[in-house]
Amino acid sequence: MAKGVLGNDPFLRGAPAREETAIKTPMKPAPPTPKPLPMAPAKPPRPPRPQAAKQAAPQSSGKKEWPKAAAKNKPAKASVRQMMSKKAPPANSPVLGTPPKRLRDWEPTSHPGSPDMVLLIDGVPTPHSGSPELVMGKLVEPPTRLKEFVPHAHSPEVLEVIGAEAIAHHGSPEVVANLREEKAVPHAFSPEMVEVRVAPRDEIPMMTAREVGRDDSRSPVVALGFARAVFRGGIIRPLAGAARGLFDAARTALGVAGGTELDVWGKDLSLTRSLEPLSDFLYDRYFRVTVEGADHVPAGPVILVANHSGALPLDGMMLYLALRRERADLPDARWLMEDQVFHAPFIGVLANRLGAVRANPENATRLLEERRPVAVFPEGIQGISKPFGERYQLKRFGRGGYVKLAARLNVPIVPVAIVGAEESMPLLARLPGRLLGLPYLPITVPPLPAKWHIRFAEPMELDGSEDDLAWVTQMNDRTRATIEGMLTAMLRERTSVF
Amino acid sequence: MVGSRESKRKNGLVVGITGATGDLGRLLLPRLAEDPRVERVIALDVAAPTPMKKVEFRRVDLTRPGTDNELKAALADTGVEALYHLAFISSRVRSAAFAHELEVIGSMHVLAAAGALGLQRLIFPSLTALYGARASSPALITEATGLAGCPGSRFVNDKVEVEHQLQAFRAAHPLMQVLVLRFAPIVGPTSDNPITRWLRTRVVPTLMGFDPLWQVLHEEDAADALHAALFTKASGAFNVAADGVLPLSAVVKLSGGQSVPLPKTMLVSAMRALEAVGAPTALPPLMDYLHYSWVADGSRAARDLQFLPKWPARDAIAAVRRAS
Repeated sequence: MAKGVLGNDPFLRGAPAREETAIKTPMKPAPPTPKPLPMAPAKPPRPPRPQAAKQAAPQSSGKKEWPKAAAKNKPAKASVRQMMSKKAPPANSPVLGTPPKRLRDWEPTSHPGSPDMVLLIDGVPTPHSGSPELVMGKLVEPPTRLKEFVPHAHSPEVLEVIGAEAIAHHGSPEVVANLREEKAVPHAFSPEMVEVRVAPRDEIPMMTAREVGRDDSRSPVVALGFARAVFRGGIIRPLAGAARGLFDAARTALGVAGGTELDVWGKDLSLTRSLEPLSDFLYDRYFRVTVEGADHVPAGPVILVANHSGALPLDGMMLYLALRRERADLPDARWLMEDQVFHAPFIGVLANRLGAVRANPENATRLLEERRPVAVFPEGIQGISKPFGERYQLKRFGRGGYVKLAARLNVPIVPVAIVGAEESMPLLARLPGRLLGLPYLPITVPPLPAKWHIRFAEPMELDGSEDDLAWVTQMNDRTRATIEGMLTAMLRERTSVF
Repeated sequence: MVGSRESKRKNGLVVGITGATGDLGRLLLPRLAEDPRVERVIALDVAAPTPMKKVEFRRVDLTRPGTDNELKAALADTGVEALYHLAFISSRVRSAAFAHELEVIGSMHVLAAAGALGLQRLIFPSLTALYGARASSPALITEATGLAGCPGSRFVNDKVEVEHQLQAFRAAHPLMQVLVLRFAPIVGPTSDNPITRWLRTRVVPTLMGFDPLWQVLHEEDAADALHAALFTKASGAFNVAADGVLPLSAVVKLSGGQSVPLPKTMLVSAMRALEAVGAPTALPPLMDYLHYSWVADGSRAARDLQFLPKWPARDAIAAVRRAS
């Protein structure tokens, strides 16, 4: 797959994103609780401005003045931020006048109206605020490159870098340089955030965890900012809930769960309930699944055809959760799973208890007759056994069994593209798994918090007969092409893996 | 209906039962005896059943060579119109040869006699286990699915052979109503079959990493289903199972045991060791049933047999514990 398609993929060596991430600045977490102003100076000063700034600085002629007294006169509104701004070392000031690499590249037109921006602008002193201590800086070069890099304004990087300065004032070369006043983020920051920022990073708005977790925040925040989102509302209870769920799941996988609330397909309602804290956590906070086009799924029987990816087949579960969240009106969806996974020890029984059904025509027919949405992964095990280097490259779509089924039962097909699974669970190696009854033993990492995105296409019209093999092949190819197209678009739009 | 036509001539149907003293026969006899549509019940067995109104006993040993003539004579004398063939092995039999003799050869005799006399109705019990527990089975096995059996298990494969005989017989006698009730594992306080014996042990070794879906059927429901088969117009095979599926671990737990998951090699050793000391155990050939789900679709019985089980799976399996 072309580099361009993979977008800003930190895994991809030499990708444009790489250059940016190369400039790293260690960043200490900010103290979590604001203290009264007088206390501020006692706090450790922020680390010196990143080299990034220095590198970028030379040619800029930006006039920068550091408003030393600014914080004191600030309105009460930003008391926390004031405090923070206070302790910022003045040494940072040169940065402001020098548009950083990325900032320079930014083109304002691509970000109109992003809610994220509003957040930022909100807290940033603008000329209209009438605050006397505002000092204006100037953007010397018009931003251009950022646009290629970030087609959307979804990323907090964008927010951080451009949000306050450029967005509000993109019509004019004058920008508010003094962002330092707004730099109060009482939460810890990840170093990754720092690296891409040129202006003082701290003006990032105090996004709630929900925003971080659910919104389109595509920052490469991995550790701290992420942890902040993850543990919003306490740690103990979610952890206890997740632990209980995991314990039940482990018992299930071992084969000693003894659940008595199973339906004929093997789905264990008591297990799904007990796993709810964990699955909600994964969905909302960890993978931060975003869903697009769920309205395209018609009521009644429908076949959802999706790409299969990730070393562990977690995509069926996430697709299921997406449907349950976004389309509560639909009956309980099921997904079909290839034999090899289904009949492997531990994972097979666990998948079955969670709602996976062995893929065969009888099961699919019966599920559709129950008027359920049925998700299929026509790539089968090929899809999840491809090495990480071939991520998001679709394999052969079986023999089009789902097309025949759809034609026979007159059921629509909805292509679905899922992005995120490949980076969450990259397949690093395949070991022989005969002893465990597996076709191979996937070697992967514990699921990484890549951001997932699920997109539903419009239902496809079926106007042929299952006996017409040419038509079946054609429909199969068309479905595959639709998914491929969505994947390409989604990967291009993606600003960050995490 | 056959019964109603007969009842014009007589008071009701004459029903024969082979294996009347077996688990199923014991439960079915009182039901038939109390049914006003049944005139007489002829118990054909090696031992006499508990004396009951309307029940006559004829001694017939199905394992003896040349017994088909004896059986034919007994059926003709008593005027049997519908015959239950319940003489199948469920108790512990050490001799595989004897089991084969009774199951396969005995059934052959019964079919020969029934064919010669032109009985109206023939009812055989069978097992959903005959579908086999396979990786390739559908989640819900319908009656149309082939009987894959269980390679290496005489117990299962003898019964598969009987069903094949029955299919041939049905083709040869299209006018006769031949019903096969494929029961899920029958459990209950009085049932003594390999499954209940196995479940009554305290510690049940299972296969680690697998928890196949099972069905069960309460013995009372099994008897009710057999009873219902006597008057239905439908013919052919019917899956009969309680409502609800249970994972094997729940089956073991509800019956009061403790499942001990073992890896396959250890499980085989454990089975052999248990067998050597005479403890009830699933034998290695039956490993499939601990490995893959075998859930039969009972909707045809509900529709055509008008049979709805009274005992949900959970309660049925709990009855095993109360009894042990």
